Amino acid sequence: MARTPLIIATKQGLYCPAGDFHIDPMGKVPRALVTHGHSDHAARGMGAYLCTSAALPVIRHRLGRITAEGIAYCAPRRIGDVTVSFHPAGHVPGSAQIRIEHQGEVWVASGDYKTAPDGLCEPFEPVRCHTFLTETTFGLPIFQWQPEADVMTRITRWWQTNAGEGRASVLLAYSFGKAQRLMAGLACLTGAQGPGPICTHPVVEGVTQILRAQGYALPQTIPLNGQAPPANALIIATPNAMASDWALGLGPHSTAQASGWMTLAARRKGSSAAFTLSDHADWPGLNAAIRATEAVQVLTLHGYTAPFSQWLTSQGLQSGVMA
Amino acid sequence: MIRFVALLAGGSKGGTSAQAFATYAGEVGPQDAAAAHALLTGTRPKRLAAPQTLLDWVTEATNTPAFLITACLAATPDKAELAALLLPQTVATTRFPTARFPVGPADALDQAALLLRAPHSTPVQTPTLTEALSALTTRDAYLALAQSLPAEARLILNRIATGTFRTKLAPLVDAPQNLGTCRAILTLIDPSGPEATFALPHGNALIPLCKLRLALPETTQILAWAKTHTTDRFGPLRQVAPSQIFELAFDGTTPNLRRKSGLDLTNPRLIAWLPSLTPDRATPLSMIQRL
Repeated sequence: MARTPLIIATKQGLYCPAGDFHIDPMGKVPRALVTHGHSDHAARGMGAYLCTSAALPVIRHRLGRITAEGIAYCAPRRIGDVTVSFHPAGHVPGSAQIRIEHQGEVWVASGDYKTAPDGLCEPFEPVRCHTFLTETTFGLPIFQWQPEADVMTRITRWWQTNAGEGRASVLLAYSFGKAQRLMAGLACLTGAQGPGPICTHPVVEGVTQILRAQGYALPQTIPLNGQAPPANALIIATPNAMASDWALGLGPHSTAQASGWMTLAARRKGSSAAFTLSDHADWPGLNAAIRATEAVQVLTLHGYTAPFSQWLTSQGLQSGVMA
Repeated sequence: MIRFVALLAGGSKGGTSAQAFATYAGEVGPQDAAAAHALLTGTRPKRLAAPQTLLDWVTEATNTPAFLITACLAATPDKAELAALLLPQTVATTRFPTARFPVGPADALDQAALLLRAPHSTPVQTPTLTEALSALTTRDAYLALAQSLPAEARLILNRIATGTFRTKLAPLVDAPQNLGTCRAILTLIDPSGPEATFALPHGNALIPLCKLRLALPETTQILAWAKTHTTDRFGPLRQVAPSQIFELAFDGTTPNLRRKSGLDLTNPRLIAWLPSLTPDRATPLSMIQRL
């Protein structure tokens, strides 16, 4: 059954010819459906944006004045000859997979996703489809995440040790998603009995306030706008912030990174502490998600696309590399 | 084994500190302490297998196709590490409660730490170092042992099993002896440590001597000073005006022709900031080289 693909790769990004729209385009296009607010998915310059209502505030915050509309999760919307809907991807607050239906054929573009719930963002929901476009950022069997509670426990121990020795703890993470997941997870674990307050870099604080206003359960944070943090504080900052004057105001501190890449010893080098915590699916997660979609064709994009596609083929699925 | 891994995780570039080792030895009992001391002083047990052999065992046990191994080796060329990461993770023992903010946070933390075998917690049903070492006899024994350990402990196990374990106990096992002191000039600051690079004058040039963690009571003031005295930037690294003198102590020197200074300091430590001194009061490099 050779059908016209519902999604193709173009120079601007993924394109749905039957609906005449792009998904997460990087080049300027008239109509963009956006899975979430990270900068490699939501770029400036599109004629009109459609994303989930939960993702919209952060996207507006980052992109400025744009023509954008928010849509509820799972709500169908007719665009051209297709029906689209957005479904939770579990990656960051508001993130979505995009389902496209055309004459009984269903394709799902995953965007970025994470299968394990993190207690903050809308948990991943598998969507049955014929063709699934999966990200493969961590599509190798060496990437297997520890349960979130393990990681939060380790971070808390590190924070306690630093606080005990009179040093602040600086945790480097993306300003949207990972930063809030960390503060929510640590507050969940320590409650009011944490070693000290949670402080934020202004960029992290900006996104945090938006998400808090949306109703995401985020703990109280103290923005650091030049004042020195308490010695027992945990400070959540972006890696870029450490190259700015802001970092010179921190006083004695220890620095750690929280990322899925910390799995690899080579990536941990140079950090006094490193925690493996990712907002992407690991190897078991990717495989479980794909099985749950019951897709007969799986196309890979981002990361280890070629070996992951070859793996899926060896498992009896039709598979190819999308981009 | 878990305590040994925690000991190594607490170490630095120079090795595991004698103080940390003493604490470890007091906690694990004489057998493990002796085994750990042997490992950390270069007495390696006979290797069980070459890294490639170990990887082959794990590849076979996990039924991983060759093309995936090739792709994984591109991500991590270290075969001992790859073998550690390929095995399925030990079974998760806790999950986040479904409620976003559960009751009894302190209990939750303690329970999680206990069950999750985090460093500094009580290991649950994991072998001691001595048991682990004595189990490194055959392929099957290795696989059974490796699968009972979390990935970071597996990596250490694999290094021991393949004869590639390199961590050493930091030299000068007793208390710092302060055999040498010098007055060095602050030249570079990395705020993310925060770390500072110190240099000594040699003729008209400043020669880098060592990089140390900036941990002094005046760290905040020093960083604030750097903000207004940055002369150049290299990513996060800031070159600062060479005007601030610090007192450094060390236990000795080792010749090292890879260094511009021609030497490594043994156990260098930052003692004090001497803001009242001018750069001409810095110790000449030639004086240290004569030690």
